[in-house]
Amino acid sequence: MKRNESPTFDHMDNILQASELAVPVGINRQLTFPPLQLQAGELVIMTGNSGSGKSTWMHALAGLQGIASGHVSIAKHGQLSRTHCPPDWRQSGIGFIPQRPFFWPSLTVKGNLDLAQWCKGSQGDLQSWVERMGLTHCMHQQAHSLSLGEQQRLSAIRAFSHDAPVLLADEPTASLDRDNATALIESLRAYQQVSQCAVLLATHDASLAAMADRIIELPSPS
Amino acid sequence: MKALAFAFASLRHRLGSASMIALVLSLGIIGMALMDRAEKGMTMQLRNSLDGTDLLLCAKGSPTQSILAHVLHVDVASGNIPSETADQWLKHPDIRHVRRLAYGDQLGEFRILGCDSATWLHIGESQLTGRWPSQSMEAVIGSTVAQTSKLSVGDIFHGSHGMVDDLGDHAHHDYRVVGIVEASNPWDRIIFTPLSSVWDIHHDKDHAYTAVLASIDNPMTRLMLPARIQKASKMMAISPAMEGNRMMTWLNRGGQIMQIMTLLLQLIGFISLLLLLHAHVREHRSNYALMRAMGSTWWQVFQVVAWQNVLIVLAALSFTVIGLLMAYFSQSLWLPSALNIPNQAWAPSTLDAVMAGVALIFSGISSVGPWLSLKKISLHRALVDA
Repeated sequence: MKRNESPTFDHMDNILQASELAVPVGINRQLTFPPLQLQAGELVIMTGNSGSGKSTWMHALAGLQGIASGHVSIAKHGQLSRTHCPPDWRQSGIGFIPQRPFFWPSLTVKGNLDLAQWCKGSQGDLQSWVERMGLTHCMHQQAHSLSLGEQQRLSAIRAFSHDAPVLLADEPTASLDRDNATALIESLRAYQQVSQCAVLLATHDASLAAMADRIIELPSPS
Repeated sequence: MKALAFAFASLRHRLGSASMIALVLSLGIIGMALMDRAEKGMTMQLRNSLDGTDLLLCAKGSPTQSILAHVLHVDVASGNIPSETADQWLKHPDIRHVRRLAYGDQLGEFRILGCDSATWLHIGESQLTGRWPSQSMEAVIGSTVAQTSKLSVGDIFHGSHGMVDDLGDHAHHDYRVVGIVEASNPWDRIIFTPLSSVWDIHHDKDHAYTAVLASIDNPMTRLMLPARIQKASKMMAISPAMEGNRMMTWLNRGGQIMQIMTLLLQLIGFISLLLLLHAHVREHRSNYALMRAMGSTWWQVFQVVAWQNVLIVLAALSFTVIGLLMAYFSQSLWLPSALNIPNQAWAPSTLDAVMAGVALIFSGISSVGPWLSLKKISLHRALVDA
């Protein structure tokens, strides 16, 4: 497969399209994932037992994990094949919220947002999201000193800074209490309405299913 | 400059280990810089002292000791020479600027130098307060002597035997200070008095000299005369310039050994820097994985890694400047005053610039290894482990 070739999509509204991906997970073992299409403004929830490969699939889709076979395409951002990740793939194609928020050591909240924007190469204004998600008061605090809920919200704002057409959220509510989890998901929804990005959200929380446009359940590993 | 800010934040997170590496690195550079300055200082001092001195007559002994004793005034003399014999040779037509010396006494650590007026005319650039001695038992003291012994013009003092302080003193022979001279090392540590003072105190009716220094106009005479004197008399006659060169060769060899040792120290500093960065990168690979996950290019990651190294080296260079300033201002505490390094030798040199340049270049090069190791890590694994 050629690198970064222009993708063709099954449906004109598709933003992300992945064929059946095979991801190596140890010696002589690989996980295979179902084909996936994400459309603009769509919220897709991915569920599955622990060990089913939710994070692995997310990372493979984000180009953070090498793939053994299959391909991923993002509209206007080329095609990901095997271990190759197109140069602008993560720069503007994918926003990513990891399962556990972590930040650059010694940097403040503002510093971490600056880092995210520097990595992406943008100067967009995140202030409205900082205010909306209630982090204005702690902009000059060390990111590590925030509560877990605040850290996860910061992690989300950092992903928003990419202004990406696809947002992948890897169990962002796993360590949060109900109120913080609800606040985070509402913020995600609000961002999605503004940006019209496609969101793929991995979660164990059955109560979030009601919000989804579509649910994908990964089978337990055999 | 964002990369610099992020690198700085990362270093702040491990301030202790980063400072330690900078300190080790700076010790190597300080060692090199001090060796260079000491060597330069010795060369300058030797050149100044040997300038216009082509012949040294003194009692037989070690040539090196004679130079140290009669030219640099940091060692004891090996004996006296008869003035009649010496004066005979000094009548040679090519001999100029004869300086006769006689000593045996001191004040504390400072030598009382019996000499003729030619000697104090030979000490180079100087500033005299008062006047030069005109009769026996008058003395002009160097500025360091005045400072240490708290003597001023008009004061009286008496000397003690030899170059050590406990052989008894000449309490009944008082010297009177008639002047204070500010001059370069070693003259600022000398007490000048007429030859007659020394002869009077020691009841030396033969008026022996301890040494005679002179310049020789003719290059051929400069080459041949010392050997002729040496062969025909019981005196030692040497060419201080040649002996000085020999001493400098030895000094340089010693300096080279020290330089190798300090280079090794620097190398240890650089290796530590490399290991620290590797360890840091391994420990914080999730941060770099995060940068990649956020869309950074490998070049951006390299900038952050390299700036951390550059900052450590800049800290090491700052420590070096502080260390050298401390060494400069405290040299009187750790160096014998006779070996104090002249101010000109402390000025920044080409070697300093080369060392700083090499350190900075190395900081960039040593960033490549850790950066390449980062390229090999699994972003997925690093993020999951985080």
